[in-house]
Amino acid sequence: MIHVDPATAETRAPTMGKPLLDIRNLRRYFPLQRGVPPGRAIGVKAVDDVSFTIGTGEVVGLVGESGSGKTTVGRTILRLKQPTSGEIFFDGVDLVPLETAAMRPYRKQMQIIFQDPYGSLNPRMNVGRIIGEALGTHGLAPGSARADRIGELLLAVGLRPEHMRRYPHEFSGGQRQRIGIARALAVEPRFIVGDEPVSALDVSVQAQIVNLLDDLRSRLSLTMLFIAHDLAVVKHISDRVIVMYLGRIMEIAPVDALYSSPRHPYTEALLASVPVPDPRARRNRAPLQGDIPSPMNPPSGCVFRTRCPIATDECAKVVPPLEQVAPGHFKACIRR
Amino acid sequence: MIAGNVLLDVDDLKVHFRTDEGVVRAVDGVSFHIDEGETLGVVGESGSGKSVTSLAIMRLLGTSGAMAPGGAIRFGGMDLLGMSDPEMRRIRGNAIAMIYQEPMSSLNPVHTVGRQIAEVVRLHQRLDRKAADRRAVEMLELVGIPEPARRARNYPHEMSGGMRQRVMIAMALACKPRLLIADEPTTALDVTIQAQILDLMRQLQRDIGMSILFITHDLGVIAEMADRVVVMYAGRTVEEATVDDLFVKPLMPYTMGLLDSVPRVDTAGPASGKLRTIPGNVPNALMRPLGCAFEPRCGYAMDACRRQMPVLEDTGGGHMVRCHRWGDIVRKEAG
Ligand SMILES: Nc1ncnc2c1ncn2[C@@H]1O[C@H](COP(=O)(O)OP(=O)(O)OP(=O)(O)O)[C@@H](O)[C@H]1O
Ligand SMILES: Nc1ncnc2c1ncn2[C@@H]1O[C@H](COP(=O)(O)OP(=O)(O)OP(=O)(O)O)[C@@H](O)[C@H]1O
Ligand SMILES: [Mg+2]
Ligand SMILES: [Mg+2]
Repeated sequence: MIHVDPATAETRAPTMGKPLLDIRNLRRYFPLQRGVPPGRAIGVKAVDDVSFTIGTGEVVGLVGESGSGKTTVGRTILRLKQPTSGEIFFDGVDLVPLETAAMRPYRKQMQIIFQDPYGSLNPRMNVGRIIGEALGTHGLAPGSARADRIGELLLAVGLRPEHMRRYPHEFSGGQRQRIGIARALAVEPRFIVGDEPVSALDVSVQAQIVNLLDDLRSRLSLTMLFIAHDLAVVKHISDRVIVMYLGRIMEIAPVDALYSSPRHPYTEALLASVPVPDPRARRNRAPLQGDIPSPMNPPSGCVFRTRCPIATDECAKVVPPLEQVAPGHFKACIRR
Repeated sequence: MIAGNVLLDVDDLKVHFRTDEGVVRAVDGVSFHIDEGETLGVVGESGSGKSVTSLAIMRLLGTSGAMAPGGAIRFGGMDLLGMSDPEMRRIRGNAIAMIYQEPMSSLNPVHTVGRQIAEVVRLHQRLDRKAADRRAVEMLELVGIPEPARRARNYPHEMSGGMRQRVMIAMALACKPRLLIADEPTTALDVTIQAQILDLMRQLQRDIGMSILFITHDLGVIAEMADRVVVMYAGRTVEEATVDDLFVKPLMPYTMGLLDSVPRVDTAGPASGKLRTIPGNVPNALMRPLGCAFEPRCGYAMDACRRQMPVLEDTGGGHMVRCHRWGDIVRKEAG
């Protein structure tokens, strides 16, 4: 087995062109200092040395345990949060040092669908204004074309043009989520971070949105980081999948390889825990045993070892590096 | 499971909203019941009235523009819609607790999560401040939040989406409710933690005989948790059956379409091509068709479906369906 530095390795699928995004050694720590004497402050290592690339027109799924840093990765890439350290190359340019003005042209090219639709829609604006503002900021669909464009976007996400006049609180959870999707698509971005973009939708509407995103990908080479807990949806939409646990990457693989031959015990546990939509298959799932570690006080060595069925003493000693096991397939585990 | 003792009975519930565009008939004839110790799953189209139904049970539609609900909601023999506000406040969060669909909509951004859980506990139980704080930390631990004592001092924005969701679950379970209304309670959780939370709910159900109204789009979770399932479409109950019957022999074409759209991890081969969907869109809530609301999208539709709203009929053994064609569908499936 060869040890590859993931920051420089070809971690993208061989078929993909030059990466649109190239994330290197990304870290984001949150200080938690309230009531703690300075110097003894503890922090959360929300994202700890994460590197990956996304090719133009590629969809990369990002899955992992709750609190493992997925949202933080997404928001940091868009510079909605400043990284503690690391580099974020978009189309060859490192975004990290850019000032607000220099960042502006990239704002239109990169959009996010927020995990929490309720908190991300201004309650005092009706939907027409919410989407219209996104168009206006970037000088798109001016004048009388605007209302038509907004109506078109609402129809594309399975809502109706007359919903333009309604306010966010007058919608259902899944309808609000689709307003967030319409707003992100409005400016025709090249890259989208979808943070749980279809989690509030029934399977039929969800399929409709996934097909829409698929379509934009093939027609306009839309590139996407697709964060989700629904492993079936991730399997359907992604070219490659990244698995995170407690701020770190455990595994990266082309989608078929990840689902058919996962190499990390955490990925295996995830796949084994997916509920099956068939009451006759109701089984006694064995959820992971052991203590869920705290990101404020992560275990030494491998962060997964406290819940890992095959961990040994050795696992407490070293942070396992990401190693390539097959073309494009990387895992961070010394036991496999 | 103590079957047969009805805890909650919702009878022909109607909730309409006055808006600038006209009256939105969000809930327009929903009926179901839940027995003691039972889990009733609720699935349905996004916007079909699931959350509004649960908010009506909680009597939390106050300032949202809703008109007085029609129909009846009975809980343990009491008439919830007719109850005074102080009476309802004693029940809400105590005998009936709810996990809301969007955690940020119900968590207070300016208080720590520990304080918010402790306050709910103190409102309903005779505990001093210290004991309530301890209970809050215990609850956080129960829902799998590591270092709960430290996390109790976090503000909601300092937590991940799934942690906030677990705070809500902790708050809802803190007073050991007789009825838990769980509106998409595990959407923000990874599947391993989801499995632990589902186990926790089942455990409490065994220990205290809690009933659960479980709303979710995840048909895998429904298959695992529910005893019976209600399917909603455009503000109405369109099918109700035991979980086995619903998955094995759905009778309403909308339910069939829904089951056909489920993406699965365990299907063979690469997941290629388009996902299946139900063609068309839900009807405008302002101008519902005269007949069956699903008719414009239904492969089984005939003339009568356009003209007349079908009633919810018992097809035998408690399998209820609102469809003119169910008899033909049964025969087709059999032959
Ligand atoms: N503003 C903040 N201040 C302090 N800690 C934070 C802040 N934002 C996030 N964190 C912490 O960073 C960690 C990662 O959070 P993040 O939201 O990125 O997780 P996630 O993978 O998106 O989880 P989920 O699946 O639950 O949404 C968590 O421990 C969280 O508590
Ligand atoms: N305050 C309101 N004013 C006007 N219409 C409303 C209001 N609240 C909800 N609605 C409408 O009522 C209908 C039912 O909403 P509800 O939130 O119950 O849907 P839901 O079944 O929970 O959907 P989801 O699965 O997307 O959460 C929707 O069409 C929604 O737009
Ligand atoms: Mg998140
Ligand atoms: Mg809802």
